[in-house]
Amino acid sequence: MKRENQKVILVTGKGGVGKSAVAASIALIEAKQGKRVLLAELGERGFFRHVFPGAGDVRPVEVTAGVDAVRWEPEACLREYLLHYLKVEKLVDLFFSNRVMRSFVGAAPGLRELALLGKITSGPRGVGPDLPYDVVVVDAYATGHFRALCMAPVGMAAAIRVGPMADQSRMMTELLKNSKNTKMVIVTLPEELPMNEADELCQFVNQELSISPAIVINRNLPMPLSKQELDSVQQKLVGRDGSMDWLQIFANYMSEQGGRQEAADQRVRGWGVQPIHLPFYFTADWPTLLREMSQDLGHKWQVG
Amino acid sequence: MASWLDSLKVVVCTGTGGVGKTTMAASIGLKAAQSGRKTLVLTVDPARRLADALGLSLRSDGVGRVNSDKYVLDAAMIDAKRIFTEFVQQASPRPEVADRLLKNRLFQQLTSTISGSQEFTSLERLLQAVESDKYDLIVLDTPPTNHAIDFLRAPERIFALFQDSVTRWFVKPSGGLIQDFFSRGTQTVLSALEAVTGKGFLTELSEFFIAAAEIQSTVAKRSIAVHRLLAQSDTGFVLVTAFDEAKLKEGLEFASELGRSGHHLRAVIINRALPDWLKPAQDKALLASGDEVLQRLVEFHGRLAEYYESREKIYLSTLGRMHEDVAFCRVPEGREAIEGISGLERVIQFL
Repeated sequence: MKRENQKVILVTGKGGVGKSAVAASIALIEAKQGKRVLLAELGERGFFRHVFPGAGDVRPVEVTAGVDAVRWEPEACLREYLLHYLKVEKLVDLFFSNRVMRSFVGAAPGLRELALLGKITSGPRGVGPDLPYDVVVVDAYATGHFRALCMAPVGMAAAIRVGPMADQSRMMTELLKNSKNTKMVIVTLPEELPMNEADELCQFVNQELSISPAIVINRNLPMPLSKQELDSVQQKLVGRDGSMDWLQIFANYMSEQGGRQEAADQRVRGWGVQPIHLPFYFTADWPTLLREMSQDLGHKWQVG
Repeated sequence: MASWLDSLKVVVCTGTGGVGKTTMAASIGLKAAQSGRKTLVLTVDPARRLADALGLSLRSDGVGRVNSDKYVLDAAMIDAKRIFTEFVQQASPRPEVADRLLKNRLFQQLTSTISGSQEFTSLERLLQAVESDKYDLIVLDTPPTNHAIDFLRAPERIFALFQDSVTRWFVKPSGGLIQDFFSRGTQTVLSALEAVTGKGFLTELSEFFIAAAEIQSTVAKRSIAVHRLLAQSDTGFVLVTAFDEAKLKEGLEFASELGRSGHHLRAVIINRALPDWLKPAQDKALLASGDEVLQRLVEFHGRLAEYYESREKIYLSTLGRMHEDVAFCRVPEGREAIEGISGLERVIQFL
């Protein structure tokens, strides 16, 4: 596999919309197609350790056939980056054991995000240690923090105009913009707030990075009744005795939910994107959820 | 009836993104206000969820008052950039110092990115509100983080930047930068850094630290005050969590970490629990009514109810492991989005 052909898939969206499940499902789908996949999560504390036994380590661990999971920490990424440049481990140690540098790395504006994005894009950029995967799926940050992640190299390149770090930063932005390597997935729900965030985020990546992201509308309730049937049921239930109240309420809810799902679909189409719909899964069991979600998403993924 | 809220003067609402933290903060504020306490709710939420929930239009960093003659409930948006700027201006001994810091590109990035600055400014704003002595209760809605504990970690990183031991490396007593003052180790590190980043970076960096040194004592003072405030027994942390097992596990971790760091978790709010309209079907007779369409609806209702029930069971068994001082509140998922005071009033009954 040629390193510059590596695909990077960034999955984002409002907190709580199911980013992690969608990211993991994409990893499973790509692996099923014979690709070597890395499923990466960011930060000091992973989420996938709750899902895959052994996941959450800073080194890649195989969690299922063809998929390794890894957790990338800003500091470790920065360390790796410095080692790549300085070549001398001792010097890097010295750097990180220095109190000044440590607190600087801790709080330096955008440096943590820059280090992470540097790692995420390191494969196709050809910088740093080999990342032997065809596809890297990143369970990225939620909306606001995700913006900061994408904009970190822009800010850095503006703050320091010359030198290796400025050049690297510009390369990262270039790579993000390159649709040959980078794909962005925004996960949302058929509810107002997640849709608003998805809308803003979609505009943001359009404008700042000229990317058209894939939009996944998650947790669509499968409608047991057609619109007409629901209408007629609602009519029928009116005037029944009190014990029927709960069903009446439920019928109303289903009808409203149907409306919300339709509105979400229309709204995404309005952005010039064909939305990918995922159903609501009636399970609290992660293996079951991922199996079903990757199956459903698999059919639509090639199209999108 | 006495509530977990009564003994508190400050409530810090924490939780990961997307769990309804802002709405819960607003509800807690309304509940306290209705019980006769003058209350302020602070939020950093850029989505203006708080303003919407309370039916207010808030100018940035302006304080708005909910229209009522029965209680006092104020709400304010925290404008991170503005608070940071004002903080620097007040902490600087001379206007030139503030100017130098505010013009530094690294400082500008510090205040415009998320890494810690929102947390820092919301705590600073909280402290100001407490010191103003105008309120009986202040509720802080924290910025969205990946993990609830990040809220406490992030400002520490900013405080560390301004620490005496750090700034001293860059500054000699007369105020200038002296390379010879550095230990050999630091010199080696600095030249390595210069090779990696380019020269401009190092210049900005040292300028930043030289200016930072001048406001360092104020930062230290405020940081101690914030720590003290957060550890007080009448400052209570509230964890808002969603109906999700993994989120709940994170919540449990958060609770034990809070305890270890000397903070007090007072309540866990489980938002969007079993919706009240989804109580298991009472009327099985409907299934045999012969109406095929109705049957399909009843069956689907049963399926959804079963799903929520199974999750609730997982929840309750996990929660059994939590400390007994912690209050548990379940806020069932409503049929409609929570909007306006009436929406919040629905929530209050569960707190």
